[in-house]
Amino acid sequence: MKQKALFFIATLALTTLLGTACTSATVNEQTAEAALDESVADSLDLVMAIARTSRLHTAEYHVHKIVTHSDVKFLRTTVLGRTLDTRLSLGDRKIAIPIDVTLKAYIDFSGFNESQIERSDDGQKIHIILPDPKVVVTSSKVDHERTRQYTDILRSDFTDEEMTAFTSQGVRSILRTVPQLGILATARQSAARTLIPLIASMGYSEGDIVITFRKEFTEKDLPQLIDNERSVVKF
Amino acid sequence: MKLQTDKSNHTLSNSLLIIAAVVLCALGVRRCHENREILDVEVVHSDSIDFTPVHIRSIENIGEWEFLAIADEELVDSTRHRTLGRDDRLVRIYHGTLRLGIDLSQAREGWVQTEGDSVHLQLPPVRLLSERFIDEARTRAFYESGTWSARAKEQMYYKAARQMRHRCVTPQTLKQAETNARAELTALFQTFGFTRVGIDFDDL
Repeated sequence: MKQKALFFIATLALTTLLGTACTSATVNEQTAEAALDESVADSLDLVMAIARTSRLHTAEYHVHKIVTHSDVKFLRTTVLGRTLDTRLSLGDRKIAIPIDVTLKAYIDFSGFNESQIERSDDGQKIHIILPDPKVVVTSSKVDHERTRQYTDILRSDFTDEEMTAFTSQGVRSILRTVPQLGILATARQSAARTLIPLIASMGYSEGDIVITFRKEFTEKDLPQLIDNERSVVKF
Repeated sequence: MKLQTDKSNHTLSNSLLIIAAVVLCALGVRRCHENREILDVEVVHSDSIDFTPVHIRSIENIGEWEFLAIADEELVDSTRHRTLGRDDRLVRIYHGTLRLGIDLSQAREGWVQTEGDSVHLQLPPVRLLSERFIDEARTRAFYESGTWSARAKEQMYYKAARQMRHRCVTPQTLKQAETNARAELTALFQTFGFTRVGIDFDDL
């Protein structure tokens, strides 16, 4: 009985060891695959892309943010899956990067069709249902002259690579605040301001023109509608 | 005889125990080394930015109709020669999207003329809609040696902008944007019931 128990323990240990080795191999394969994907994406990025569009930009926001980062070193001790961080007194590094970002709200008319136009029976009134508005980052600029970094004697300066990574994070954080910027309401008002005179010139009275979006968007809808492409947010 | 069998069993048990102990030790060392679950000590630092507010500098109502978007990347290389030692180099790859189209705020009074089922549009010239088209947050720091001033980086930014403009805003791309504008606006006005759509552009 005792022998059987010992034999079982030994077999279990060997199986676990083999399992760990297999898992490790799979992880390595996945890492290699990810690296391959990344290299493909990089080479595609270098191609100049020309796209035919029909976008009516209706609102422009100039946004400013000071991106800050405090680089503090910690000693991370992991014992049996439990992690304990202890701050090290090796000196701090801090950086502040002012950035200016231009956001534009636009309506894409490339898919616009007759189903989005409703006319009254007498032909006097017109109702236009606009395509969903979107927001795009059209430019971002780092104020290099006003960028400040503070590094203790034991630490090195921030590299250009680190600074560009922080700037990129800064723009992403601005995009996350888009729902609070009120750009949706501005886009709608501005679209009406541009399109109503245009439609009025077709013979409609301005009071008989109604312009709406496909649905009433609420703040709750917005987070789910953020596009994967970093610079474009769909509403 | 029984004593010999017991002794043999005892030896076998010891051997199995030793094998199990060796395997468990190997497993422990391996997990400790690779998975870092049992014991791991490392120096880490945060790489995320702090929470700071976003300030809206201005909000503008615009009426810019974009008909061609050109996404471009430019590699800008800057070298500083040193008398002693290796030269300093900074190489950055800038990303920008140049948008060509018309600015309706520049359209003349009465730029839309209708007559029956015909419409005529007198549009402002197709041009680059914004001079600020570089998304510097997407810049890739490709290579850096030495220390570089803010002024040097500003100069590289403007050099990249000049290169992009020179490469992307050409008579050919402006013509292509104009062709797209004709096609898109014709289709749009046809959805409003106009069968004949005439389009002319003002001179630059």
